[in-house]
Amino acid sequence: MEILRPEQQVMQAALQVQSARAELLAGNVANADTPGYVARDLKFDAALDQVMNSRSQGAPTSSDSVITPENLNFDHNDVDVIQQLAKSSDNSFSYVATLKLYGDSMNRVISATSSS
Amino acid sequence: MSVEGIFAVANSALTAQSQRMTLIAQNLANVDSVNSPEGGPYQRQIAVFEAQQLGAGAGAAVGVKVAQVVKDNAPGAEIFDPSNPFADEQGLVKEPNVNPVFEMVDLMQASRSYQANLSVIQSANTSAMKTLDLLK
Repeated sequence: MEILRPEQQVMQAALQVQSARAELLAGNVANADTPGYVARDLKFDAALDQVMNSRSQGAPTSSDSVITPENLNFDHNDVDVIQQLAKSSDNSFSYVATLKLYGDSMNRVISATSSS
Repeated sequence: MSVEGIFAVANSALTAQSQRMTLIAQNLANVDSVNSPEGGPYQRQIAVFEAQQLGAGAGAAVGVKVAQVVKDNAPGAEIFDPSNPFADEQGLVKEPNVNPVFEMVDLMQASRSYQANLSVIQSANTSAMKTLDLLK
């Protein structure tokens, strides 16, 4: 028997993808001034599928889920810091929202199983 | 959740940007140094950034580091100052190739990048705190 309900498994996978994405975006901001660096990102749905299907604890990394944008600068660096920071805020908003849902659903399980 | 990963990435960037700012400060300080330990006028120094894998594996976080510090070989201006001990036979002194305006613009960019990485740390920290709140 699965202890976690299906939606909780999806939420866990989503949290994994969102934290991996946060790391990628942090790397993009860090390399905003690195010549030749190309910004990286995850395709959320593809990465979620990957985590759900592999059931592994590792971060989603397959290269086909990494998008590489096209507008290269004169130093062959395409990082737009504003855009990356906006993506990063958006990502942490989703992370916190998923976390809230996950916590609530866990609390429901706990109150359903507690004795009094 | 790799809050540690995000912190490591942002930390590497903060370190690299401070090294860049140190070099800019050094360039600005030596804007009038017509002599240097190696001889000749001071040459401005530039930090070259390079993406750096933090940890092993394909999914490892990508930080940044100062790969090397290069000297700008562009010639500086020559001014006429015969009383200067470093003047040549014609009384010309080679000035450093530091342009204060250029350095200040570079400094602004470095400090903006530094701030951007600070805000990444802040947002990762907020998420991590919310994660800890699950235990309440």
